[in-house]
Amino acid sequence: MKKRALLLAGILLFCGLSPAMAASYPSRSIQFLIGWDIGGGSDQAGRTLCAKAEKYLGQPFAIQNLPAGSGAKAYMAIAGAKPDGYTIGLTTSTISTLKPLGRIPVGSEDFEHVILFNSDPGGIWVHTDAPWKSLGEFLAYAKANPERVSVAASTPGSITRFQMMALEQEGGVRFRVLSQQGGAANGLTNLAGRHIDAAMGTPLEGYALYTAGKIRPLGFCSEERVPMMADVPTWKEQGIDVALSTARTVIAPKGTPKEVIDTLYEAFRKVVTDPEYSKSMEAKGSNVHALTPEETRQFLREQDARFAALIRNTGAK
Amino acid sequence: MPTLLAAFSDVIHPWMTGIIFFGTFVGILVGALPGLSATLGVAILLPVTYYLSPAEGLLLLLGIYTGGIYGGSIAAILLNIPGCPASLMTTLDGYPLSRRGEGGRAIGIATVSSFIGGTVGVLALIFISTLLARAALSFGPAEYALLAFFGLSAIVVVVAKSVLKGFISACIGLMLATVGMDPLVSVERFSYGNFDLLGGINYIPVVIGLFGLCEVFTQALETRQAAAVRQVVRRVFPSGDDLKTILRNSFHPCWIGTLIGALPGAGGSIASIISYNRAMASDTNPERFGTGITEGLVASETANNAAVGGAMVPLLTLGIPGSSVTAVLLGAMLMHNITPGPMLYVNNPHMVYVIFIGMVMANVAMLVLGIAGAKIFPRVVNLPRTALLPVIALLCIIGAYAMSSSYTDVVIMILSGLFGFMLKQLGIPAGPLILGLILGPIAESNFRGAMELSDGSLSIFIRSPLSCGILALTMLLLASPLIRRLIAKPNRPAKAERR
Repeated sequence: MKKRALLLAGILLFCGLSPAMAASYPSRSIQFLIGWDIGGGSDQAGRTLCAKAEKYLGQPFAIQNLPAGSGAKAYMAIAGAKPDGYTIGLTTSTISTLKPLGRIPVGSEDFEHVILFNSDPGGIWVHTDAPWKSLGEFLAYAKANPERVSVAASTPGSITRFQMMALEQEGGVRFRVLSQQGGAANGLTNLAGRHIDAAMGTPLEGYALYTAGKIRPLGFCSEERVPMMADVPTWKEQGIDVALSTARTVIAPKGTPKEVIDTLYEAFRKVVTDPEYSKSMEAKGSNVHALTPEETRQFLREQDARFAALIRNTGAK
Repeated sequence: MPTLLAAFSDVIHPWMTGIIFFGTFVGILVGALPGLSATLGVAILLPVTYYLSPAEGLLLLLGIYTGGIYGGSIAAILLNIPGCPASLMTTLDGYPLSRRGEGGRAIGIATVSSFIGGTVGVLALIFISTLLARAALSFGPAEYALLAFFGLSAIVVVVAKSVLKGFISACIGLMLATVGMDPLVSVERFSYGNFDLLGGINYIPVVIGLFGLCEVFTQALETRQAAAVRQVVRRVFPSGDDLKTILRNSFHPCWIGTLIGALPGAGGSIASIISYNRAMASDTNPERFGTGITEGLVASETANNAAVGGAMVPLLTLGIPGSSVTAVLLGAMLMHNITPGPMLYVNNPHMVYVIFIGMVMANVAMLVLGIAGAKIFPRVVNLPRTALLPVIALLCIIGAYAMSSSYTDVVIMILSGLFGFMLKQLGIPAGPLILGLILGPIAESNFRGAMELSDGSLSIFIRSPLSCGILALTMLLLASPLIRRLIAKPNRPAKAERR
């Protein structure tokens, strides 16, 4: 009798334990992995998000940068972490490219999704003194000089590289490509020193050199114009039917309890819907979103399909 | 002008001055502890700045940055362990000095050199930043590649005793540098499926292992044989003669350090390597370098602190961070809704002046704290080795782990320590290995990038006057042993006798 009571108590305790644990989440600091270098666009986005979310979660974030392979190292680390909500991290759209490219064995379906909170369109920039006034003029020149016009972009597999490849395909041109290991921002610096003809980069990355009068954008590959540079037409307006942004989400290891995901989502949602936050991000040319975990999963499913097709078409693999 | 005065009165306020001194003090500590670098110090204290005003936060971080780069020299001089990568070249002449019991004098010289370099770097930032930014932008892939080759050519002279052994060491470093993602086509190389190695072998744990842990092993064996050298600290502020040597030799390190610091992707460590090389290339008797001479110490320490001011140039004038520390600073500025870049001078000149004056103050703080500390630091070496060595070994492990909280880095550090000990027994110097590991990736990605741009033509390396200049300097350095031999021919018998 005593034994059975003990067993019952044990079962009850066990059943009662997991919701109780989730209710007290988070009880210690949360490790947040970012697969890009300190100071880059993704690092900025992730750090700002975490700094403001601490207030709502009551626990600090321990941010760790694992820059390698356009996020590959961080994705692998998150995939292998304990699904208890104490190790989460940032993704960009490379979560949809690295698996089809054969770089890593995990893709978006191997994670739990918390929120899609930000997206940045790509763009192509030239030196302020360059002769080309529009994307059309630039492409015409590139067509007349195949593989002689140099363009900087991140390494293969990255989103800026895909944007450049899509531009080559749609515009019917071939560039001479300069790969930039550290991210697109380095290419823009090379452009400012006139070592190359053009460079790929998001509004966020190019804005500082743009205001310094060193470089100017020929167009952004977004559906609508970038508000802070409203006089710059999109690629679509200039006859290049490409709209390709990088979307940033927060992911957790597969199997993380739903209660934990919801707690995190609620905290991050409060951050990104704060008008002060969205205003400061939009001033830097970044778009703010607050997709729920389910919407995020849906978005990534579509994105996976889009990039899988792109990889097949461009022969990037 | 009124803004400048307002900024000046803000910074001179006791609270602000206190913050700068505190930051610099923390920086020196972090820098002096092997493995804990200025980048780490700035990153760790970054969250603290949320609770401070933007100006206070930035001054705190700038103090840590300035102090951290200098602090590295203390461990380099006393323990032969570069406290941070920027003080790698300081070990070459600093440690021999402290082995002779002149650690206090060496720290004094390093402090004054760092102060001169740091101050000149800040002055350059204040007065010629636009010019410097333009100069920095003129470095394209070809120029970066040549700069890295110039840095690598140091092996010929650093190890005048045996060029072959130096060459072997550098080649090992270059081979280690090929591990990880290919820089251009991002294909895995030599990582054997280990995702921790995707980003390549981080040079910081290797530096800690090759110098720090290896030194522990070496000294542990030495204790039985010889008593430690006792550090005699009579005076710490450099004597008149030393001051003269410092002033005479600090001109070139100042401009080299400032310029290299301003180059995105380079920084204090590369500045001191290049500066040391230049000092050797132009010396009539380069063999003296590495034996504990003031000139070598000045070349390294002045340049790495001048690079601090230089590194702020692209951040403030172009809004692009050129190094890992300035990237964290950029983050701190963005947190406080300050967007660095040319518009900052227009929109928020007060903040710009606060940064300028704060950096000058941080250098003063570094001088004061450094000279005060130079009396105390050398005593560390007088501690019984049975106490000192385990502490250093522990610091090595913490330092290797702290950089990216990775156990792989700790394993790399320990393996490097064992490997370094083996190299030492074979008489192969570890310095060139580190040079290869630091400069290898820069040389590789930029050389290949330049070749892509020129469609495979080497002519890109002589297309600009800048690259021709670096090429000429490299040739001079490489040819110097030959030239020396030609000049020294008549003295040969005397030389043989000495051996």
